[in-house]
Amino acid sequence: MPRNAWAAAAVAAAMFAPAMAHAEDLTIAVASEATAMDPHYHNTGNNNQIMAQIYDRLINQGPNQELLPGLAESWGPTDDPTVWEFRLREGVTFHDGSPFTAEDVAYTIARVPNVPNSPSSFAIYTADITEVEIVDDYTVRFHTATPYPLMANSLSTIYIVSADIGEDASTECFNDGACAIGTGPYRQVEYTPGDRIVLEANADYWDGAPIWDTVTIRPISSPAARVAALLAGDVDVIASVPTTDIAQLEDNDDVNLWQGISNRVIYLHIDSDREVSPHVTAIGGSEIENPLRDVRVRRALSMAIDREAIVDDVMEGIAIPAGQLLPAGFFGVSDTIEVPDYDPDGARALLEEAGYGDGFAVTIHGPNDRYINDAAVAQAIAQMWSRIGLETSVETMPRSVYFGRASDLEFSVMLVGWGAGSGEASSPLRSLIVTNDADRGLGGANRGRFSNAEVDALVEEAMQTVDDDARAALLAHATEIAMDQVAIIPTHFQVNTWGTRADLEYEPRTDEYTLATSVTPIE
Amino acid sequence: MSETLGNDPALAGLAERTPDARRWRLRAETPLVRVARNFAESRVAVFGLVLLVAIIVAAVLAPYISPQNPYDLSEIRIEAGELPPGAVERADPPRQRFDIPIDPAAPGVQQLALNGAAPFTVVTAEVLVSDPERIEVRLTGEPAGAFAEVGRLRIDGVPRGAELTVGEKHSFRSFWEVPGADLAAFAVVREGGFEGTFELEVDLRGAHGEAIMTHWLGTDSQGRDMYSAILYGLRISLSVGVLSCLFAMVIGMSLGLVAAYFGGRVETVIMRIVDLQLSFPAILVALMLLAILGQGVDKVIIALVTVQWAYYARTVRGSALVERSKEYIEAATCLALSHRRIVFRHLLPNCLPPMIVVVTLQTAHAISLEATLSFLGVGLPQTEPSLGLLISNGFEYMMSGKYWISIFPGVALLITIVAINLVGDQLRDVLNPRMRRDG
Repeated sequence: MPRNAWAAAAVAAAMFAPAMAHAEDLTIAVASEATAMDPHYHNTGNNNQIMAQIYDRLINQGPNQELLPGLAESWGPTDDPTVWEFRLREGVTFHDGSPFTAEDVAYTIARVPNVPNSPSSFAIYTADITEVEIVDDYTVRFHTATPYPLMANSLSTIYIVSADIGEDASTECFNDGACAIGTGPYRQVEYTPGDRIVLEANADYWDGAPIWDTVTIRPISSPAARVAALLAGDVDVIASVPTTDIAQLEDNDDVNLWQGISNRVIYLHIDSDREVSPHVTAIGGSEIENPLRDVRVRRALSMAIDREAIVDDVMEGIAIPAGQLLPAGFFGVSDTIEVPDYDPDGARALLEEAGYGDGFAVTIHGPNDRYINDAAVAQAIAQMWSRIGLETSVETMPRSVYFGRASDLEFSVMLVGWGAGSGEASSPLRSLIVTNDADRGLGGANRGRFSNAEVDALVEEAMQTVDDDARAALLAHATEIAMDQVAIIPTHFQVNTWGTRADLEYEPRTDEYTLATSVTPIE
Repeated sequence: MSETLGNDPALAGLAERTPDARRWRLRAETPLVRVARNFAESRVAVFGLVLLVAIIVAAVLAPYISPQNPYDLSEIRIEAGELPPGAVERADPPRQRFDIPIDPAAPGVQQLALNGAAPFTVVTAEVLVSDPERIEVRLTGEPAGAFAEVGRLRIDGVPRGAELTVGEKHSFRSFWEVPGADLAAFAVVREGGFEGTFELEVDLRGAHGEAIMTHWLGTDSQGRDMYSAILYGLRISLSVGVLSCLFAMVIGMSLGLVAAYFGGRVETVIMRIVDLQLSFPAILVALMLLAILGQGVDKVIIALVTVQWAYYARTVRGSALVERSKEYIEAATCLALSHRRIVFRHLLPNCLPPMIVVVTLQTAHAISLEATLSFLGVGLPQTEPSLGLLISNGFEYMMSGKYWISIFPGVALLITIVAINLVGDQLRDVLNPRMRRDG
């Protein structure tokens, strides 16, 4: 109550003293901290959500990852489908006061693939660009070798930096702030790894000055500690409210919860390639030929998962059962795929038909600190598979260990999640489903090594199709075949929950980012 | 009649006349009996011992006395997760799903017979298109026996822009949640009329299923019976503690004895390794080892042995150094007995009493170390939780008020360690002559 009184007082003060600046600070607690302040160093949500506040992209992404004009006012393919033209916004200045021009775009595209030691590079989004042509200060053309329909989506992930920072601006230079010059709503003030990132409002922002004067972003990795910090008033907004606490927080008048669907599908990768898989054996432990190569076995595994039970009992209702790669409403999603029904009898019959009526032993590997309730989901799936006669065990580990081992193909069945950064179906299809081909950058995260020529061909064709409707249909068709062949077993789509003070509102985002620009005071 | 022979308490009152009354026979108390008698002097320690024995028996007999095998994934049900203490686990309530095709272009009443089982048999859907903007739907059914209470009723497939007159749309999913004590009557309304036909998908779930079992200590998030899980967890914790201590003792004691007996360079090398080992925090070394070795009971034991053997080596060396200078060792050396025989047959038995104390206390330490490792997420697999892992799993639920998931295993761990420590403390008093209160 006193807090509301203060807020009321502040509003009154603002009304009676219009000359006085509306000064308010915001503290946000996120689950994981950024690994660096270099916007091109590490393509991961934890970094991008910070960068999106300091830097603009040519095309920004809205709360549902819809494409919005950013530093480009308009864009589109020219008559030649291999050339895209972007008209840039005029009158935009960087945080250091210098004007934004086409030079900065060309510089940024050149810098992206050349960031040393990048754990996950943004180069996948710029690799197809063969040439950046500067037509004039406010017009840029991107040339590609073949038609590239994803140009707009790809460039909506690239943060534009100032060309003034020089040829060899290092990641360290961004970390200490000297190179951290963007055009975004906030400027970088302080970066203390493990403790905080402090941002300050950019009063000259082209889209209007932001609401908050100073934004402090603190990493608090323990979910319980994050909730406690919000309840204690240490922070104003927290990301990733644990599902276990949601019911109780809903009854708390000092806290508001905001929920939104995420673009992240949680799924199982299945080793459908190797003749003998390291963690699939006969019951008793003797080596067998990998049963997961048989599509009937994979189907049985999918049917044996009670997705409603996972959503209701593990996720406390805060998730959506999944039957494909993205939730309904995203570009390239199939309308015909239904969430597979829970059918343990049917699953047993299919196993019998495939010659595994006596079951086999399998270990599910998963992380225990990456996704919402990840370890519990893995155990729940293990329970369900045990019911159809598989001897299932679970091994979970911290993500720092897990993802490296998963990419080295040490596991047979692994629980992973995939957030579609571009907000459309080609992202999961190209990374998780198409045949692994390191040279062409395809199937990079295809840890089950699923391979289907028809799917590959459809995705390939979609990537050459500039017409949106035709491309959406191709992607949907590819998804249908992949799901029919059980390339992966999707279980659910994450739903994210943010918690705020009672007088704040958060606009949920499908990309899971926690942004100060999405926080507004409730009138 | 009896007579006191000197002041030696070991002999006190234990000389008695044999029945033939001609000779005195000394029936000296065996060391074991003496220890037992001295041990029993502390009621608290006896209480600790009784408690410890009870815990061990419970742990050993866990498969026979626990109502559930918490490690058998096919026995536990996620649907029974987080039940409070004393709650009854019920089978999944009966569930029915049917589709109601609706054609807004066909006015009038439509009767649809839908087959059902439980909770309702013979379900009828009455669809009344009275108005282009409003379609009335009435669901009726015959209650089937005991489970004819509606737990939840979800209706999906409501066309975009349309609304139901009852219930509420789920905040982020496509279905409507309709309250219905006995099925439901509602209307689908859409301003501006409907476009084309659609199908309402009704998902009906009963309120109760059949009772399966009562969970006196509640269940954890995976639906494990906490009582069973604690018994099985004790089993793992105790066996890890005891086994790792025994291995560590064998290794540490052998090295300590060898060091004390041979002295010189051998001693220097061994004892410097011990110093090195003891200078690292045990938890740190164990964490590193487990990160390398991976999960599993065997690996936890290896890690615990590695961090604990040095305690034994140092303790045994201390007492062996004292014993080594005594005459009986000299005598044995003069008899030209082999080193091995002197070390293990003469030296070792005389160094045992302090070791027994160390073993007891270190067992408690090993158990809490194992719990710590499990709590930190390394150590044992998720599906076979020991006490530490149970506590860790429940920790997330502390804020939401589900205390039983963490508190009960915590109490079990606490009681176990206190019991072992009570026994260990008294053993130390008994076996360490300098601390003997009756001496």
